[in-house]
Formats: sequence, C-alpha cells, structure tokens
Amino acid sequence: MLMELDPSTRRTLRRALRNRNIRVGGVIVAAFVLMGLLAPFIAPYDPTKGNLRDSLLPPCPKYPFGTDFAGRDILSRVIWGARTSLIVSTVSVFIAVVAGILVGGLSAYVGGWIDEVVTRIVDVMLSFPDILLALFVAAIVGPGLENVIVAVALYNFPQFVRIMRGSALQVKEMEYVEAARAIGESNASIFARYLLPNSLAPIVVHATLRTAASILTAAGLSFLGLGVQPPIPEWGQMMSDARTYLVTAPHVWVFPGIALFITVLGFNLLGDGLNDVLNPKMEV
Amino acid sequence: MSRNVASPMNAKTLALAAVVIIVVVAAAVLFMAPKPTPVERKVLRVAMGTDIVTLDPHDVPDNPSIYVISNIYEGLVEYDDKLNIKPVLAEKWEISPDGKVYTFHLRKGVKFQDGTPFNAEAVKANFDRLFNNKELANRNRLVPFIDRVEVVDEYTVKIILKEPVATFLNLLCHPAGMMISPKAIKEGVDLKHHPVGTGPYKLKEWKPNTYIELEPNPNYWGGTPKLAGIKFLVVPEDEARVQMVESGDADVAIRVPAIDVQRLKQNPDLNVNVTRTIRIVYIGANMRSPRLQDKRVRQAISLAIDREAIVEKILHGVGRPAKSVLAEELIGFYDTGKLKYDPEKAKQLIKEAGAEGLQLNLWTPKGRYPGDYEAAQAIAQYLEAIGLKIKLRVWEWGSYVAELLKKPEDASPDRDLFLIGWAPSTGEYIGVFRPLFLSESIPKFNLWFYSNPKVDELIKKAEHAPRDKIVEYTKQIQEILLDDLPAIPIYNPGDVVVYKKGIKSLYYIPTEVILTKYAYFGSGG
Amino acid sequence: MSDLARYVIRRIILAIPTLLGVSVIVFLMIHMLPGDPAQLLAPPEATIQEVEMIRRRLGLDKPLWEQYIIFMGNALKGEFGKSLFTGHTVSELLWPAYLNTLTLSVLAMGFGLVIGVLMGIYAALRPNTVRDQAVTSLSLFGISMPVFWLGLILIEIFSVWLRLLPSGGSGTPKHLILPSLTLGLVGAAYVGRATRASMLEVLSQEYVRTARAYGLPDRLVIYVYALRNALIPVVTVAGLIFGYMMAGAVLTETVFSFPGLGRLIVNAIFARDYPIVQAGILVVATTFVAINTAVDILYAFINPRIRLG
Repeated sequence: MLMELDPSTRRTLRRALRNRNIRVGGVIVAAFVLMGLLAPFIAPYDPTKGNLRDSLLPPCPKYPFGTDFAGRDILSRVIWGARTSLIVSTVSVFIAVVAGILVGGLSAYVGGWIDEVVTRIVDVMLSFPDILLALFVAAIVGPGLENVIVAVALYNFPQFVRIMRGSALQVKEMEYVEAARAIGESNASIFARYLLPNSLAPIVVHATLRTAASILTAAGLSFLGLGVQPPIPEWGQMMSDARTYLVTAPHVWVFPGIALFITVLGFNLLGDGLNDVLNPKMEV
Repeated sequence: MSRNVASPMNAKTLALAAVVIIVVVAAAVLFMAPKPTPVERKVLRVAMGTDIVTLDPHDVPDNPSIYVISNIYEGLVEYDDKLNIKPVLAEKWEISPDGKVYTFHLRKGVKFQDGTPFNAEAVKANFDRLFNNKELANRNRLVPFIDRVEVVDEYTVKIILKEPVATFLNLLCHPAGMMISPKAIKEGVDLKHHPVGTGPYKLKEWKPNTYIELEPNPNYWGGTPKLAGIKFLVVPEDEARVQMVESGDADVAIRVPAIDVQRLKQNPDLNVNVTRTIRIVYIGANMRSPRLQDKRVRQAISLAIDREAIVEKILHGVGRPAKSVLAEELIGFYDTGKLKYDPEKAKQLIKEAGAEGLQLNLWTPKGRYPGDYEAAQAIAQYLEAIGLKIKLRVWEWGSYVAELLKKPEDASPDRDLFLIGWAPSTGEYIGVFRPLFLSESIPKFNLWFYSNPKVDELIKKAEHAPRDKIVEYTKQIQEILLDDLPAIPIYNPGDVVVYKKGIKSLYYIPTEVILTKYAYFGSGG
Repeated sequence: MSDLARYVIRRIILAIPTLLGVSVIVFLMIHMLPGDPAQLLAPPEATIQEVEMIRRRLGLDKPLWEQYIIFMGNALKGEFGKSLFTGHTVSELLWPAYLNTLTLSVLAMGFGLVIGVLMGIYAALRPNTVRDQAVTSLSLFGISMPVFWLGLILIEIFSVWLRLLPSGGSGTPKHLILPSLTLGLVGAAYVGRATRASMLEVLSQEYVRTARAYGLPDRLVIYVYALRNALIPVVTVAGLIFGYMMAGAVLTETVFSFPGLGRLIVNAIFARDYPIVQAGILVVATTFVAINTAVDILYAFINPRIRLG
C-alpha cells in the first residue's frame, strides 16, 4: 500500500522545506533526536556515576557544564537526558497515536451506540487537565520511567481519538467511500486507503505538538519527584533540587532548563510550520 | 451583507465587561488578602522544616515535635545546652546508697495550665499512665527500669528502680518524663491535640502544615513569660527558611543548610550557631532480608563508603564521620576503629561472598536529616562501585516511619538497606542501645530486626553498671555491633541555627532540641 | 424559551455525564491500588478493629455501586473523610488550599489577559513586520517555556539578585506576585497568539475593509469594531487556560512553596494520604469541567450562531 509521490505531494514537500519554522524547528528536533540516540557515544562520562570529591564544581575544562551534588557530570546528564525524554515522549505519543487512530477511526466508522459510548469516555478523559491525569496515574502506579510513559500516553490518547474520529466522520460520507463500499471493498481496506491518509495531516501536526507537551509533562512530573527516579538522568528531575542550589550552584539547574526549553521550542516550531504547510490559511 | 459576526453591541459590551470584571476581581483579591502584620517584636517566630506529629510527650516519636512540646511541658529535670542536668519541677533529690531509690522534693506552688495543682499525686498519675498505656511510644524509656512510684507526702515522691541505673536522671530528661495534668489524663483528653502542662506557654492554635502558635501561660511558676507568644512556622524548603530570617519574616531558622553558613556569617543582623548533635545517621540493614544474611556483605557496604567525603561534600563540613553507633559525646562511647574507607577490601569481601551483581534496595527519606537524600545517592554510587546493584527509593517521611515501624511479619519484603537517623533524647547510651538493638525492641525501634542474645545480655548489664564500669560493657557491645553491622553508622550531622541578633537565652541542646522556652528579645532585638 | 436559555440548559445537562464519569474514575482510584481498600484508607497505626470500622462506615464490603453512592453522598456533603497522617479532616485542609489556588489563578489570568491581549493587538496591527515577528517569537517562547524553569529564573532575578520579592511561602500579597506572574506569563503567550490570530482574521473581514473604505478614522475602526469581535475566541482560550491554571498550578506552587491545592495533592500522593488525593483530584477536575461549561455558555451568549447549532 504505497503512497506514491504524486506531484501535489512533491509540491507540499518543497513548500515544507522552504518554511522557516520547519527548517529551524527541524534542525532542533533532529539535534535532539541525534543527541538521544548517540548519547552513549558522545557523552564524556557515565551519567549515573559521579566522584563525590568533585561535587558541585562550576563549569570548567574537565566538566564543561559543571557537576551536581554527587559529582556527576552535568553535560553527560544533559545529553543522556535527551535520550530519556526522547524515549518517554516518542513511545507515549506513538502509543497514543496508534491507539487513538484505531479507536477513533473504528468508532466513527461503526457509528451507533458504540460511537456514543466512546465519545462519552473520551470527554471524561479530556476533562482532566494533563498534569492532573498524570498525577492521578502516578498516585496509583507510583513513580518510575515506565509509569510516566503510561500516564503521558493516557493523556494524549483521547486527543487523537477525537481528531481521528472527526476526520473519519467527514471522510465516511464522501462519495468515493460509498463507491468503494458499493463495489465490495473490505472495511479494512477502506480504512487504510481512505480514512487513514486523509486524517494524516492533522494527526501529524498534532503529534508533533503533543510530543513537545509530553516532554514538558514528563519533565514536570519528574520535577515533582513522581516521574523518572534518580540516578536516571532526566531534565526535569535534574531541576528538582534547584531551590537548594539556587544561589550557590545555579549551573545545576540552568543547563537542563535550557535544554528542555530549546527542545520543546523546536518541536513547537516544527509543529507550527507543519500546520502552516499542511493546513494552509489565507495569507493576510 | 450576511450576519457573519455577532452584533457589535453585545460583543463589545461583553468583552469590555469581561476585562473589567477580571481587573476588579484581581484588585479585590489583592485588597482582601491579609495585610502583613506589623512586625510584632514580641512574638518569636521560628521557621522549622516539618509539621509536628503530636503534642503528647509520652508518645512523641520525632524531635521537631519536641521543639514545641518543650515549651508547654516540663519534667522533674531537664538538660541544659552542655548536657548538664538541671532541676525543674523537682527542686532537689536524693539517691539512696544502693542506687535504687530516688527521692524527689517537688517545687511548690506549681499549677498545670488547667488549674490542677502539681504535686506528688500528679507525678504518680503520670507514671501510672506510662505503665498502663502500652501503646505509648516512649514508655520503654522509663518503664522497664522502674519498680514502683510512691507518694511520700504532698511534695515528696519516691521512684524505686528494679536495679540501679547510673544514668537514671538523664533518662528523666526525656519527654517521657514530662508531667501532664492528671485531670487531663483522667478525663481522657485528646493529648495529641490538646496539651495541658506546666510550662510557660500553652497551645493557641495548631494549623496543620502551616503553623503552631503558642501563647503565654499567665500562671507560670517561673514568672510571666517574656514573649507575647511563639509561632512555629512550617516551612519545608530549606532555602525559604533562610530567606525568611534574612528578610525579617522569621526570627529563628532551624536546620539551615550548611551551604549558606559562610554567607550568613557575614550578615551583621544575624547570629549563626553551628552546633554538634548526638544524632547518628545509619544505613540500616534488614537482618531478615535474604540478601543481607552474609555478614561479609554488610561489612563490605560499610567499608565501601567514604564517610569523610560525605561530610565534606554533602554536609559541607557541618558534622563528623561516625565512629560508632554512638555519637562521641555520649556517655559510653568507644572508638573501635572499625569504620574505615577501604573500597579494595570491600570489593574483595563481595567476591568472597559471591555477591557480585547482588541487587539491593536502598530506601531514603528526603529532607528529614541534613543531607539524607544526597548521601543516599552518594552511597548508592559507592556501593555500585564495589559491584552491587542498587535500586534507590525515596520516601515521604510519614509513610516511611509507618513502614519501618511495622512488625516483621507485616513489613515489606523489599526492605534491605534504609537510611535512618537516631538521636537519643536521653543523651546517653541507654537511649540508643535499648530501643535500637535489644531483641525486645522489635519493631519499636529495632528497625533492623536484630536479635543477638549476647548483646541483649550486655545491654542489660551496662544499664545497671556503676558509672565507672559503664565503658567496660559498652565497649564490648560496640565491638559486636560494628562487626555484625545491623545498622551501619555513616555520619554525625551537626546543626545550624540562625537567629536575629538581640534574641537572648535561646539554647540549642545537643539532643537536637532548640529550647525557646527561656528566650526573649533583648535590647536592640 | 429563548434559544440561549435552551442552549444553556442543554450544555449544563451535557456536563452531567462528564462529571459523573470523573467522579466514577476518582472513586475507583482506591480500588485500582494494590491492597485492601479499607487498609489504604485507614491511618497507619490503626488497629484491626479500627480498620473494620472504616470498612463498615464506607461500606467497603458492599457491592461497588453501593460504595459509589456512599462516596458521592459524602462528597456532596463536603465530607471527604480524614487525612491519614495529620488527623485533620480533609475538608479542613482542602478548602483553604483551594482558595489559595483560586486566588493565584485569578491573578495569573489577570496578568495573562492584559499582557496577552495587548501583545496580540500590537502584533496584529502591523502584520509580518519586525514587531509582529518579535511578538510571535515571544509567544512561542512562552508556550515552550517550562513553567518551573521560568519560576526559578524569576526567583533568581527578583528574590536573589534584586531582593525585591519573597521566593516562597504565603501570607502577604507580596508572596502572590512572583507565582502569579510566572503562571500569567505562560498564559499570556497563549492569549497573545489567539488574540493576534483572531485580530488578523477580523481585520481582513469585509465589513472592516468597507468601514475603512468609507473613510472612518482608522483608530475607531480598529478599536471599536475589530477588537470586540476579535475578543470572542480569545474569551474561549482564556477560559480554557484558566482551567489549566487551576490544575497546572501544581508546578508553580511547588517552586514557590505556595500552599495551594496542587501542592497539597502532590504531598498527599507522596504520603499515600489517599483521602486527600481523591478529594483533591475530584475537586480540581470538577472545577475544570465547570469552567469549560461556563466558557461554552459565555461563548454562546456572545455568539448567537452557536445557540442554534
């Protein structure tokens, strides 16, 4: 089931590459992903092993970003932190997207009371603002990396159900779908060939934006102490002790904060750019 | 033209109204928010780190609660800041030649805060409570040693011990020896929330997690208290406490982070008091954990930790490496020389025990003891360096205590190593050995489920030894304990108290109690 | 009955199943945890008899739906039980904290609206110029900024360097400034974006161009006509953000040690003080639903088209 690169897609791609938001955002996101993937090779030290005698050193040649209270190199921890955020955000968004597409698409396609029930449940889930749902899940399953992924996926899931469902409902009524059904095409095939591609644009945009939000939520949870646990490096977690070292060792929290900010910014830029390109509005 | 927007009139009015409403509400809120009270020079504001647990001195499990309790309640005797014993509700006393009978002559004219007179009957009523109520956390500080209490006359009372105890008066300095109004005891008053003592201050209000406010007791036997009140503010964040005392929002800050000491010493308005304490922070080892059965593993753990580095880098010099299960100031301390840093030997022991790659759980509270959480992470690093695999778990204090105090059969099977501190409010060795290492003290407070009959025997002997023979026994006990290592001593934290210049008679007792009951604002304060 | 009244009633009725769903999920929380619910809801030092008493009082031995009725019955009366570790009732702890968070959010919303709307208008008046770029970039920064990092930076600047404001705690209006500014700036970013987009769209509308063509003074056109229409969707965004603030204030409250509901819930989670966690989450989620409903109704009030749909 290849989607061939027809002229209109090629045009879209070219527009995409010319869009400045996509270029800048794309570079940042690419850097983030590379940092995460290559962490074991580019980090100068093991992020979980520190030399206590070297604790709280300000940035110096040996430790470019300084060290934390346990003597761990902050540069290495920032690099590995990208890996943690990468894993958490991509896995949870991926789960949410796949589950959302399946549930949303099927629910819209099947319609009837199933659709009603699903909509109700989604509404209820959406009535929890993200940190709250994450807190709720954390209260039940406890802190930890896997649990953060679950909590964040759970929050993102209803959003994708909604998008997919909205899209699917529109497409469902289209002529070519009726035609396809008339000639006896299987439901699965209709789903894959018509429903899916037409919803792709809003889903891709939203997935990018949600990745940004997921990184923030996961960092927030870890900042509170309910997310990723030490000594696993995570940007939010690295900032949770910030108050203690506010005055005496600001390098401990400034660098992870910058990393977090730039990464989220990159994803938002990318998402905005994709939105411009895929959902064009009239220029003023 | 189609009506594709709302009619201008409605939209305009509404938008305007919305903005106006928000602004008005914000202004009203700011206006109604409590105005800062003019600095009441006469109420002493103390910023502390955790809320108190209870106001019942016979049941109090933690030291912060004692800060407050020590203003409301008094005992027959109390410690001063050099750990000397001072008379309070007892004016003088005699000890019989055989060391078993203590005769106390009580202070006259003392009334409890509910008007009940303090006398020998009141003393007896308090000891009866300790004897009868088996749930009280602190009864075993005193009860196991006392045979009976006799009222001789209205102001004379005899305490007869089963065996002589050289440090009995020290034991009486513990909150377990504080006097509660017999009327309150009899009526079953909720003493956790409604204290009735003889002290210079009484409870005005306890707003949970926010503050505890005390007001003066006008009928105090020692004269009118010199403060208009004492307000203990619950401020969990260390930095916030420091800022409060720097900005004038608090008069005293307790548990100031060591990292701020240098800076605060430069401040001309503040006094910085860096003190020693008698607390030892241990890594407890669950003797019933299948993973910790081999003594060599426990010894390796002890050798793997660089205590000096922890004191220097995490405590920033406020404290000392532990040399024994007892702090150096305590009566009975003996330095066995066994607590060393030798990671090579540690690795060797691990190999011998076949424990490479052994996975152990390390539990720690956060913010309860100076440097606890940070030390736990550093310790995890040290242990991983000798070949163990450590899984760290951070606990909130309330649930940590609840879990650790569970009976062995109810306790979590995940309990391996856990960071916990202990400071004997009795100021001497009995207050450490008996609650922590005696078999009968499982689970309160023998948290490591240690049971060694030889140690039990030695402890009991030590309790009744005459003063000059005490170290003979305690030396043997410490040799055994530092070989078996049910509790691995790590460091002896110091404490830092910062207070406004001009405040007088504020004492820090090494049993980690800040005594505010005599404090007052001197001139220039 | 007017369209509007009908819509309001419909919207409120629609909110009810959502609220029910929320309450069911929160109620089920205790049962999703490993362990005996009665034990989980009892103070740690409780004896076996006390645990049984709790089991009977909360009906934990009855079928689930009956338990739910008991739970909701109590909740509606404002009785959420007792905190496990402090011995105070949950209500005693909950309502002051809720009020604090509400105050914080209202103030933050105030900052956010004022700054955001002004920024948005500023940008929309000269689209695609340097001004516009600056505002758009700032807004983007604002929504990407981790709110706790922003808080830390503001503390560093205003508390540590300038020593102007307290870095935490509560009690005086001064203590409210930094936290509400932190929350407000992030909110301003969202409001700014929405205002700019909305203003741009309105300014390009036919009737605006017509008005301009007729020679009405530019300023009059902009402020009187465009703004009031542009603010409509902004109101919706603002409302939604207020809801997020109430809930998301957790991070800000933690950074500033502000005694609000978010911080209460987080501390309760650490302490496994489940009655507080349940009550707190229920209250916040309910508030969020209420705000969303109110926003929808407000929107319908000012935009009649919605009522008919």
